Amino acid sequence: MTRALDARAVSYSYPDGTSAIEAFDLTIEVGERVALVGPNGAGKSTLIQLLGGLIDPDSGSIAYFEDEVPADDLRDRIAVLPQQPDEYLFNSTVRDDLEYGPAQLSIPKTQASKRVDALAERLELTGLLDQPPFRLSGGEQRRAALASAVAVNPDLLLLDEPVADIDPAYRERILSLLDQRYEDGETQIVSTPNVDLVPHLADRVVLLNGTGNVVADGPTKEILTDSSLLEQCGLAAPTVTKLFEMGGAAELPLTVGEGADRLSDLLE
Amino acid sequence: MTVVDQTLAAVSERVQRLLEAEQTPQRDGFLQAVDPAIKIVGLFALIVVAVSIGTWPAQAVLLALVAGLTLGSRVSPATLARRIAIVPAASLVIVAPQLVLLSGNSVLGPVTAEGVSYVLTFVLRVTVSVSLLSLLILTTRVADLLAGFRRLGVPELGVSLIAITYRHLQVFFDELSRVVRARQSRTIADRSAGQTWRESGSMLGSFLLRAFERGERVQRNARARGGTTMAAYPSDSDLSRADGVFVTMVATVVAARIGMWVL
Repeated sequence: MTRALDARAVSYSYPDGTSAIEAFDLTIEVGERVALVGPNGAGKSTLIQLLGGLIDPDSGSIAYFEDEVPADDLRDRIAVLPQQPDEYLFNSTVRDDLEYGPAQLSIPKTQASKRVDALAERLELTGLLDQPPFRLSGGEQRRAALASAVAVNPDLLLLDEPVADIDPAYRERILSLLDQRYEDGETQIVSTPNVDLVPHLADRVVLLNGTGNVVADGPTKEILTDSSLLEQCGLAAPTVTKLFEMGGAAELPLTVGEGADRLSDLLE
Repeated sequence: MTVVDQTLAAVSERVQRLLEAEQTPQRDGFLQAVDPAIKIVGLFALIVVAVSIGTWPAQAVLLALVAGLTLGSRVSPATLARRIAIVPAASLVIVAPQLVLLSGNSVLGPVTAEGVSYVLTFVLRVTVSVSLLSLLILTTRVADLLAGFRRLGVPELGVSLIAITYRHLQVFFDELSRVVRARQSRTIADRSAGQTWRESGSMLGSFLLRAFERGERVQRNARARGGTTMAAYPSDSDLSRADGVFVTMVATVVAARIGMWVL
């Protein structure tokens, strides 16, 4: 299988000298969906920026698609969505922002407009296209930022807390968009401290502790049902999982849907 | 809220509104319909004419033309006046002494007719020039303006500098608003002038650091999205009737100016 990303012994310190990431290794195959899960301050956002090639590691190397080409030369294949959407949207109107990436990459205008209109409709941004992004609400900005990131149709998408501050209806829309892109073959790396969301976002979890070290790396089900492992990192199992664990269930669900199925089985 | 906070908040709000004024370029007006590259060349030609004219009646005619362009482009005269007022006012302060310094026939005490003519011409010239520049900005999307500069062969470095400056001014003043709001929300007791001064110094330091770091993040995000040049798709730019009318109008003004020279 082709590797979408191969990070070897990556270390990074903040400008004040504090170590953020030390000797971090991660290999992600094309078509995988991976969540970087850890408590606040674990360095998840820094890691997303390092893996997205936006900041350079102090040591170590990161290769994309089994090539030695730097990330800046692969911006048509790699997209990074940061945690703060207002720092991602810097054009005069939402439409200009959605078209920014395709315009930089010289994608023909008709093709870009088609993509932008489809994304705007999907994320309910159509009525906001002529608005200045600075005037949107936090949730609207996050949807606009996600649409801007995927407008270049990347092969590798890195997302830093993509559904934080989003209300449930729009969260479903975003998760459905990410699901569809994953099914179409997009590789996704998502960082989040919200364990309840992880089963919707990833099939593999890289668990980080408070100092940014990898504590575990494995299938989502295996990691999120191991309460003692999660507690070591200052996290807790998803609410539904915890409920069934406390009830003494042998097999633990990860999502509300799975929990509901389990309950109806029990009731029958 | 201290005087320092009030001043910073007002300046920041005003500049942000100025930078974000994107509604007028989308209106269905005359200058909005003119191709950005033609508009840049035409308005700069009119500015050159304004700068080269030395009589106030001719400047008044140009001001009337500016008024016509403003109304035809559905720009509120009040909006335009608010945006430019400070510049003619400052120029009036600078040249006002000429009212009495220039020798000539007295019109009122030490004020001479030559002095009045000089000051009027100067202030009108500044008003016309700044109004034309403001009309360019008010009737053109930033992306179209940059595309226009590129089409006119302005070096990429210059266009990128304009793009980056525009983007970072927004970041700078947005961050300033945030810092002032944060301080305002946590300031309970009245402060003495000394305390205000010390705290403002500390706030300024933290603001500059925050603005710098935020600017870096915005720049990184631009890189993540394919580049920092702000290349954009130009608006549909088939030559229209508005282009023809505008070119004819500018050509007439330039020809009249050359005629004045020759005669």
